[in-house]
Amino acid sequence: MKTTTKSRYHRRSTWPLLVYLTCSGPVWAEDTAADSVPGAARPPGVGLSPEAPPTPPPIGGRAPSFGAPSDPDAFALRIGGRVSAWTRVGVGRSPSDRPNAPVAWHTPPLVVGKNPLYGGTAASLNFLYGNQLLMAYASYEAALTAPEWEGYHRAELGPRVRAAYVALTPPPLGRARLRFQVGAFSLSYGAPGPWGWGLFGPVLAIHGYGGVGGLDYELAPGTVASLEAGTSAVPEVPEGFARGTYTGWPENGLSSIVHHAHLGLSLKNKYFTKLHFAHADGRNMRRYLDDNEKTLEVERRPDGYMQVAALEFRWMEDPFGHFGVTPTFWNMKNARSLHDGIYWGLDWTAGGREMTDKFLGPRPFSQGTGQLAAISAEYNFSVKRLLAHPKPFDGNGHDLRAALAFLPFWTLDSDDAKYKGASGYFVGATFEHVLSSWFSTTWRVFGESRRAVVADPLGARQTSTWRAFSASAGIALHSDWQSQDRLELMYSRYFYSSFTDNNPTRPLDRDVLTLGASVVF
Amino acid sequence: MLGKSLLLLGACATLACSGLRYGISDADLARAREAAPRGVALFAEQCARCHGQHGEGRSSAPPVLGRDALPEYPREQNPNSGLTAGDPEALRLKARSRPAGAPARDPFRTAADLYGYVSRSMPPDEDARAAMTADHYWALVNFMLVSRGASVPSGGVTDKSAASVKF
Repeated sequence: MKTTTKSRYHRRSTWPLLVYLTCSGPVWAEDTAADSVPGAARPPGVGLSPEAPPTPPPIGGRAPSFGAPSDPDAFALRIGGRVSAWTRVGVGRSPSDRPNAPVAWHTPPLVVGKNPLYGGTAASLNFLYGNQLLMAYASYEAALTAPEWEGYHRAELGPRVRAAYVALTPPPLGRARLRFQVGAFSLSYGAPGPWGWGLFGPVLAIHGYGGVGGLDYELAPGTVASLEAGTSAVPEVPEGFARGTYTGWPENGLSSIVHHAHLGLSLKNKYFTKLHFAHADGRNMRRYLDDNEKTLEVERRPDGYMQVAALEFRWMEDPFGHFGVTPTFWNMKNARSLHDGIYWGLDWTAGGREMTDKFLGPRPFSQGTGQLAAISAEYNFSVKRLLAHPKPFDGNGHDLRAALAFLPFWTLDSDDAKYKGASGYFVGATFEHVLSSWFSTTWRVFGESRRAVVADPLGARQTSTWRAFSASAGIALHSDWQSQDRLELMYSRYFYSSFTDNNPTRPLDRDVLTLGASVVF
Repeated sequence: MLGKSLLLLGACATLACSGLRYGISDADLARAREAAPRGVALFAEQCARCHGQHGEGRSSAPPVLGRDALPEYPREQNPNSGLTAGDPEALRLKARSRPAGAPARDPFRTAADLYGYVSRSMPPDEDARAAMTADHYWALVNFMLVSRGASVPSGGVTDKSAASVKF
């Protein structure tokens, strides 16, 4: 047991253990500092600090000024956002029934498989107002989305409030740090990549209206146990709400409520283990959309649920990089009745319907009952940081940045017998060769392979392998070695299995040009 | 069975009672006034507002003074809070602000690592950083080292000796 000197700066409680657990540990500074004690109230120097924002910007990020120095507990306003511009064009191929037809260019391109460069033209404006204790956050976003955005059409995502919440972060209670958040927001968990993300995203993302609370308890320096739990709800969108031009958005009439809990342990701030669990209940309140069009008989689907359990392991070892692996298990029952409270699962799916369609079987063969398992793994490293070791490399120089990801999955059980036992994988690798402070070359390879089932013209269901790969090369312009703004031009070559590109009268594009730009401020 | 339970309880109690020493102690403060008086004053001016009067840490800023402060690797940031939460593109671009796979800051292994980080990133405000000189940062680094009970060379740590002063 370590010893601590009792003093007016350090004190150890003699209360019982439970009290000690929350109140002991870090010393408590006295409120009134005298003379030259660090922190004594002194007027700030002329021309020095416009008061720093309550939350520092990311390393290398930028923070706006906030006028004259003020009390750190005073409320401050911080504004941020992002602008993304993006377009993609596919070079068509002549259909078999018109071999001499002129080659058409397609936008969006006729391609399938993962989009190697983010697709989405959007602008978001984020407001953060608060101090160290209380923070109010709102994000307003306008997006022009089309099928090229991760493969999904989201016409209803016009200008909208993407998130609005209030977060309370009390001062540390001994070793315990608490955080509470209430409002409308999204949460992501289980990503194997750094910064809470990765090439294939998190294995669990939750959004809706609700609240979440978290506790971090420091057992030793760098060893932190964490607990987080919350509830989010996505209410029903009435069936008659057509959202302008009806888009076929099939979650009308459905709702979902998600309960989730997370337990974590980090050692030395290098090794991270987290257990995630979420349970989403879906309620089907439809009266009309589930009618059988041929007979007008009402065939209401029963309510359903989806359970997700993920075990996240991540390891950061400088200078070798960051490695993460997250085995995940999904258990679903009538998951078609779920709205998108769990809005990202495997492969950017949104809600029970897409998880069912992609991994358990199409309608009407599967109603979303089955089990799915996956392992998402990713390794990120900087070649220059490896070579420069033991001298640290901060990113301001030539570098080759790499990310390698692999994600196999298995459909363990399904109410569609054709999908039972099916398996597949996603694979991805991205490299950025940073040649100067304003110029990089980029290289990306993505692939996806899975068992898929389609019906032939006679209605017989055929099973084969669906496969789509792409290899891309591009150039990127940026304003500094590590600036977050960039403009990128990329060429992609796609490769498909014959089963994937199986319509000779409408062949998929193989050559695609992408032009994108993003600024985060 | 009872013995095992008591053993487990004892282990938990031992773990829980191992005090974390955050914030500068009386003894180390007295040493700091002798060894790094300029750093003491600069800390009060530039750092205490966010990190606490004794560097014990506050809600949004970690402990920076004390024997257990300044761990080798930084505490992981919560991806679900802050301006980039829930925005895939913003998170992807944010990751570009560091070399791929690198921690949010370089590991603190020597005084040179600490100086490198503090002089590049603190205070968070760019204008405030611009007003700081290398001498200011070395004074702060010396004070932070003394607060950990580290022995610093006479005359303080400088750019010539920093790499040899281990954490």
